[in-house]
Amino acid sequence: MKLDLIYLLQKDSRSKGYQALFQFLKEGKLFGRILVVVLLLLFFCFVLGFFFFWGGEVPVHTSYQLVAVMRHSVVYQPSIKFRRRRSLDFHDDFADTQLALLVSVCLTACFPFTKHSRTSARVKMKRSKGGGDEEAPRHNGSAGRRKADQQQSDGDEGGSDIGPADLQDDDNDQGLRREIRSKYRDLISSVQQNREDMLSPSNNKLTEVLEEANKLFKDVRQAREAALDAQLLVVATDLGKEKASQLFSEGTAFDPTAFAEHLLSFMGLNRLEDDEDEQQNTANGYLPQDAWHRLARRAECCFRTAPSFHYMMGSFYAEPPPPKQRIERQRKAPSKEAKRIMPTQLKKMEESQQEATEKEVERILGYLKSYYQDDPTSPISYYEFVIDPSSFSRTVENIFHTSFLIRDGLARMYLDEEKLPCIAPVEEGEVEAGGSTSRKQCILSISPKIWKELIDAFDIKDSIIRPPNTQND
Amino acid sequence: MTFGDSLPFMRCVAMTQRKRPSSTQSSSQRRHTGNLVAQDEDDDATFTQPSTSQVQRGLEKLTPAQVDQKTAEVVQYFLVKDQKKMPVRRADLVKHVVKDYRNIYPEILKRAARTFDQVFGLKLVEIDPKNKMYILVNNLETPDKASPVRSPSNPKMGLLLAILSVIFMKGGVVRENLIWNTLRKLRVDPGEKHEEFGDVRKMVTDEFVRQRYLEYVRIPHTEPIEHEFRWGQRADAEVSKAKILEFMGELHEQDPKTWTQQYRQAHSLPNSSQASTSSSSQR
Repeated sequence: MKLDLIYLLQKDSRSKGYQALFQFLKEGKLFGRILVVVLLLLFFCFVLGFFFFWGGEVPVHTSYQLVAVMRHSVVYQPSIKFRRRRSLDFHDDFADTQLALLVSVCLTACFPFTKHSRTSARVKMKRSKGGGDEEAPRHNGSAGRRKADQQQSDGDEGGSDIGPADLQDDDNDQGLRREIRSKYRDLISSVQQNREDMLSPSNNKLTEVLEEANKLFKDVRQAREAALDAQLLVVATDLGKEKASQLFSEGTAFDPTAFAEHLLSFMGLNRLEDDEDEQQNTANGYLPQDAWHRLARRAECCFRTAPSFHYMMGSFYAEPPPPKQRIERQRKAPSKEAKRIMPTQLKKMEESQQEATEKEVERILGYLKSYYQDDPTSPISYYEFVIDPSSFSRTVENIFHTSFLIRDGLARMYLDEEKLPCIAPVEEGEVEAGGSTSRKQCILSISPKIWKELIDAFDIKDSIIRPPNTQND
Repeated sequence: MTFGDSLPFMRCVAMTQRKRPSSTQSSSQRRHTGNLVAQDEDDDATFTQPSTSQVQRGLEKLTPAQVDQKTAEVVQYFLVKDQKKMPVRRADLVKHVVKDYRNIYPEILKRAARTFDQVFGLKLVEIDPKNKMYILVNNLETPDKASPVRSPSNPKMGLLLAILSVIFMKGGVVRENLIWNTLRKLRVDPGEKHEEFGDVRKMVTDEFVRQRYLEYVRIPHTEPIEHEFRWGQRADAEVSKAKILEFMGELHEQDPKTWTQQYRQAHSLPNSSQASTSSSSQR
């Protein structure tokens, strides 16, 4: 292998070149290796010489490039300049930087060597162990063996020679175990599914299953297969117990099918006369209605059941639904009548509301006229006319109704000599000529106190306007 | 500690969760299954079998009329509960009927059993000593032929007879598939709804089991899950194996003795009715 340092230096992917270098150092010929090491040392001296023996300023970028190749992690900083040192004066600005650089270069140069030595030592250790049994960290010894095999396949000539035969053995083992497990599972499922078949005393299937299990057990090494074997044994022994219980019964065997047939005849099955299809088990006749009752009556002989308690006359017979309907109907009828009544009443009320006032007004007019006709000359005092000494509210009503009379021009109010209001009906003739007369309005207010004072002042004993007789029914 | 003193204590205990009073004698013997309702379990846990001296003392405090009244109530309770053929639990009985007369419970039960025997011709049988369940069984001899009285018969009894016969003839334990196949041959398909029985499967595995005519237990280690049928406790008390064998002989037109195994089993016990011990022997 030719040494191509320039090639290494110029390579873009510097890590590869770095590895390649050390690959060479590790595996190359002895002479080549020594040569490389000597040259590297010279090179480092050269670099150091730059710092110490040249003085002046060194174009840093060159040395940095060189170092970066070795370390491939230094940041390229062209601005830093180095000055020659005559004495070791560490107080200079760049002194620390120089020293640090120096130390780091040396360490970096040594580090890959040491790292590699460590890894190589580990590989060597693994190689030595691979031959033996590396079982501690693994639950399968073969897996450890396999891993060692893989490591050895990476490094070819070195290490102990295990070879491909061992690999196949591991796989075989795994495969064998899987096979055993699947066979066990098959046996278990066959026992469970063909239970009926195995129970019949005519064959020896159960014995065969057990013999199979025995054969399989010879190859069992691990707990997992043994557990499956145990499961199979449990199932098989259950079946065995059942089989044994079958053997228990001696004498005439009991066939449920024959029993069913006899029972059907007992229950009175009417078999059809044409027995064409005998394969068809169902509907081979029809059972009478009381088939089961017949059997039940026969069963009473065998059973000592206590007769169940019931009342001789039965329990009371309740009939809730009809009364509910009747009640509903009755309730509906009154409501309808009530509805019918309601509108008539309302109508009456409506009438009274609308025309009550008019009637009242007319009535009061009648009173006024009749009172006036009694004595046309003497004026009717307003207060005497409207006031009802027995009821204040009636008085207010009278005033209200009288105001309608005056509004309609059927009566007129005037002040007499003593400035007291008087009321008089208006003749019809006067009304026609009443276009010129102006209408005046005024608001009367009365309170119970005033009302009482008026009664006292005018000494009103009776009301002229009789209270209405028929108001509300 | 007298019973009267411990009564409020036991009431308090019943309200707390499952605390067993350590002073009572039979609490250590009690082991409860998960079937019982929690409240009844508490009652049962707190219900102790009063000793004879306690019973005597309790009887002295009460008038005979009261005791007779309570006995009559217990008898009525049993009769009504037996309509459905479900066994009666002691806890239920004590909680609903006996109530304050707990201290004379054994005496009440003894008198009730005597009433059943003398008045009704029935026998009060304890079918489950552990859980204290009682049933009523006919004490009179069964007629050889069908009774002349035409009372309405229950078709379920016919089906039950068929199932019990198969189980008995097959040695006492039968896998459920055999029963279903036999029923299918009898035109009763568990998968379909039968016109007379309705849901046959539910009737057989649920109703008959609760009535204690059959036992339906799971066979271990089977995949898919299978069960087997056995005779229940009520069937042991009520059904006569000899009579079943007779019926078999009739059907197959054979002598019952040809089934030697079953014949031996049917006639092994001194009384062929195979009734279990009566309830009066309560420890």
